[in-house]
Amino acid sequence: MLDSLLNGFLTVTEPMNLLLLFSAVFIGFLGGALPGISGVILVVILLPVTYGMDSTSAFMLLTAIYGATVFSGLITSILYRAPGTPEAVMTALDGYPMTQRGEAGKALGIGIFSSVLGGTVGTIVLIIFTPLLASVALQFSSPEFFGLAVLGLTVVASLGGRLILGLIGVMLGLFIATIGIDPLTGTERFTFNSLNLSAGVELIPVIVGLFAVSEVLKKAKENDTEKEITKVKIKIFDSSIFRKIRFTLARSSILGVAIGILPGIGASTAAMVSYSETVRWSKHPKKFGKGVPEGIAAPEAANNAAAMGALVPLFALGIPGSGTTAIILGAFVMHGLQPGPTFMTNNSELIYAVFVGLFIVNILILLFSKPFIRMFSKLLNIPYASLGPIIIICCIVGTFSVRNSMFDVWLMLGFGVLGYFLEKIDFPLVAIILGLVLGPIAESELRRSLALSQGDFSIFFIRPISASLISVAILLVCAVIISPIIKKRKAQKL
Amino acid sequence: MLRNKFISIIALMMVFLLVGCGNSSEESAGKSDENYPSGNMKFLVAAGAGGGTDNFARQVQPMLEENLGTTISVVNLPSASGAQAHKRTANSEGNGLTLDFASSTYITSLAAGQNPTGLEQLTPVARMQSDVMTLIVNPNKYKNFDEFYEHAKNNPEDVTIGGTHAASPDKMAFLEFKDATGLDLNFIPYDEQGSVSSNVLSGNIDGMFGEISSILGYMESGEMKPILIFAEERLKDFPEIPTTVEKGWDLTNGNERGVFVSADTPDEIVSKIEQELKNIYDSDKYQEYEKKTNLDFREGWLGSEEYREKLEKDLDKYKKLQKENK
Amino acid sequence: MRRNLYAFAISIFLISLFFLVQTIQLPGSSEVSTLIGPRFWPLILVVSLIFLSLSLLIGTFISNKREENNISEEAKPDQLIDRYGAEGSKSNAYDQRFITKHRHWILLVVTILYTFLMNIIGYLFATIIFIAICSIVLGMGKKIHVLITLVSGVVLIVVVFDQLLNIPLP
Repeated sequence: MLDSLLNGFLTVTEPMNLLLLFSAVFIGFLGGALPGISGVILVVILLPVTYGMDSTSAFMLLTAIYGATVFSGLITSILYRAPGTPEAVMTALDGYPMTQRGEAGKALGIGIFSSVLGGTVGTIVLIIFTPLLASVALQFSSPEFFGLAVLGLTVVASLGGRLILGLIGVMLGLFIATIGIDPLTGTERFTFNSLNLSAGVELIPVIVGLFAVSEVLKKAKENDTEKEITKVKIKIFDSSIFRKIRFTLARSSILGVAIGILPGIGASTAAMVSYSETVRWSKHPKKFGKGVPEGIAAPEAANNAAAMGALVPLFALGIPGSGTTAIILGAFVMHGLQPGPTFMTNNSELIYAVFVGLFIVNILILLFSKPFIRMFSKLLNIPYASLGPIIIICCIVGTFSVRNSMFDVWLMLGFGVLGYFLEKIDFPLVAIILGLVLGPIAESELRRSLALSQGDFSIFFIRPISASLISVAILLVCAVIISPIIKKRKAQKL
Repeated sequence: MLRNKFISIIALMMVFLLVGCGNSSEESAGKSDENYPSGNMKFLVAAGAGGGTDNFARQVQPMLEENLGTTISVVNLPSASGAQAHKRTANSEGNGLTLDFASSTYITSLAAGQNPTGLEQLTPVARMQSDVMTLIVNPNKYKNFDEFYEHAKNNPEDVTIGGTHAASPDKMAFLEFKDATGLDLNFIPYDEQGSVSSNVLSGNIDGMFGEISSILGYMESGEMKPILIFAEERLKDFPEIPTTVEKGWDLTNGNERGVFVSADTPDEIVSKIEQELKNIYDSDKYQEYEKKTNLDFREGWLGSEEYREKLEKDLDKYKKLQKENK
Repeated sequence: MRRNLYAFAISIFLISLFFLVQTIQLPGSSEVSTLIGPRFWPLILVVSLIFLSLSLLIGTFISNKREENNISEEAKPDQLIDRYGAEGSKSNAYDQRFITKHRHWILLVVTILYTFLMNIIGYLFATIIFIAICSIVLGMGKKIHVLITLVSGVVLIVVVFDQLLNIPLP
């Protein structure tokens, strides 16, 4: 393996390849930072470009872009509450309040550090454990995915705000996810005979609308003529903060890789689950959502780690772990490579070059994120009168590019207005996203599990992994219900 | 101050009006095949990026660009099984500049009533790929087709087959297979091919219907095995695998990929595009791509007329199957 | 805030009721080949939404009553500030205040118009008009600033979206 790594290192350090990686990181930065333009779209756009390259360079380029977009979603998430990628939604929860307090530099620094750390942990796991972990991932089938989705949904309890509003949000999200053609039977649900709705509601228009557009509307109402000039000073490593967040970082990176490895579950879910776990383990859970370092570190470490984890089943089994890796898989086929269990042994040179490439991408992110973000954060000082319209334009273009659909743009604007109103009652907007992301997984996997067991609910409790996931979820729900009662009792005794 | 603003807004309106006039006076496209193509072309791909249909379109794109001396933009419209791509093609001007790249999913989703654009709204130009459908299992579960068949026959409702969504070519293959063999099997649709494969690998489901080209890697490692081929004759590369026809079942459909235009397109232009596609199909470069992606197990080409006949036949068959299995 | 909560709970309740009717029309489990039909899951969701919105309504009502009894005095300073704030801005021209007060809605209307225009007059020109109007509405004073925004917006679209990322524009 060391031999292959060394070989890979030599391939990557060829000047042409280094240049390629550098431009990939830059493109990834840019695309990831623009709301609506996610890694999936960038990889799609660059796919035809790679047809002319040799396969090693092609996959280094694609995976590097993939890694860089997952990272740079945090920039606009923290600065403008306009998550650049779906993976960065959770980062806005604590990142944006810090920016509002004038601590944008601190927030970005934590974000960069956590991302790079998560990405590096992910890459190391990828290099060492790929063959081993792939077989573990196969143990996950429908009942386990259902368990995981249920566990993910319990996050709502830790989102802060009023629990009942959070629950309504999750239910709304879950319900929106059912719109469209039912994947299992082909029945049209709530489509009102519209072709646009039969395709279902995409995640990106909802995220961009609820977060970015509603924020622009809110800002437009505020008077910001006398805006103080904020100077963003990014400090990537701060030992006092690091000491505070080191456990969060470790836990989130590992959790992120683990979730990323599971086929079909991506970095967004990883960020959500790891955020909720961090709140759960925290000594001061009430502070989350108001701008604590852990609230940035957790999702960022997790989503970058998960992005790398998603490559594990791709390389080891030819099964994509997320949307972007599914497209990279398609690219493998175009290059005449056969993804599958023998892929790693047959193409070890290419794989190890890609691994080393990813490693270098993390270093490049560390080196170049600072100047790049500084460029972006200068925009903070531009009067909102110029920034507002430009953010809206980015939102429209980004949303449109997801499916080439004007309908999505209208949907996005609609969710923008909805988000504006929901903000007025302190509604936890993330709850809707949570439901929307986990809804399809929860529903279809529940139905698939029961189809597998022919209607027998015991399937969830016979299989060890799903049994433990679901029992943990049930315990957590009970804890949420019981803990206020206990607190009340205690208060009464005092 | 406020007056200034109004003046600027009015000025902008003027600009907009001028621009509007400029646009409307653009000349309309010519319609004879002589000056075809009369402008830049657009490929609408009825599938997501990176899939087989997308790869197909992007392979044809540079070749057609070169042969016709035009620029082609490729737009992916994967939502609702590509229904948007068909709809937009049907509504496009009949000048042959908008081509719809679709797979058999077009006809299967039409049969399932999930696609409002019927065959009367589109003209098939050519079929360029015909992939072979196979029944694939985990060899740890079933060594060969006979073993599978015996087990399924003796244990009704016990065997579960996975596939991608409810109106896909593999679902239709499943229905056809069930109909022809009389076996009592279950079907579970998954969201993506990867989930189906991983469930076959882990043994949670018994098998799947799919293309040989997509599982070559697993065959090599012995973790998946095709046990039945939907074809008339055994494949040259896999002489040991039995076919449906030799078992006495007339099932030969696989996933096909072709090109469509709006039904308003005049016949000359349709045959012109057909000729251009035929040239591409026969070129060494295209054949090399088919070979590289293992799509060359059987002849892919079908001209406009034959392709339409084939599609109509398939549609009737699938509609009937869909109705029986509602 | 309180009134908003009521409005929210009631609208969620009404929307859920509407979709409950829709959901019931979906084929049930016995009519399709899968064990759990397409109706099962949305039905659970809609029913729990109805339940949740009702409990929110009741909860808000109860806490409202309680607070009315407790803190009728604390609210007063707020109102004072409010009145003061309103008077302070009266010195401005009436029209100006109208724009400022409703400019988020103006922005929204302009955005909607822009989205329409995009298809009619082409993306680039619509964008130029959009940026200009928006920055004026949002209170951009100097003409040069409007111009800078305009240029940077166009550059963003042409260079970044079209050339660099090659994103299909509407």
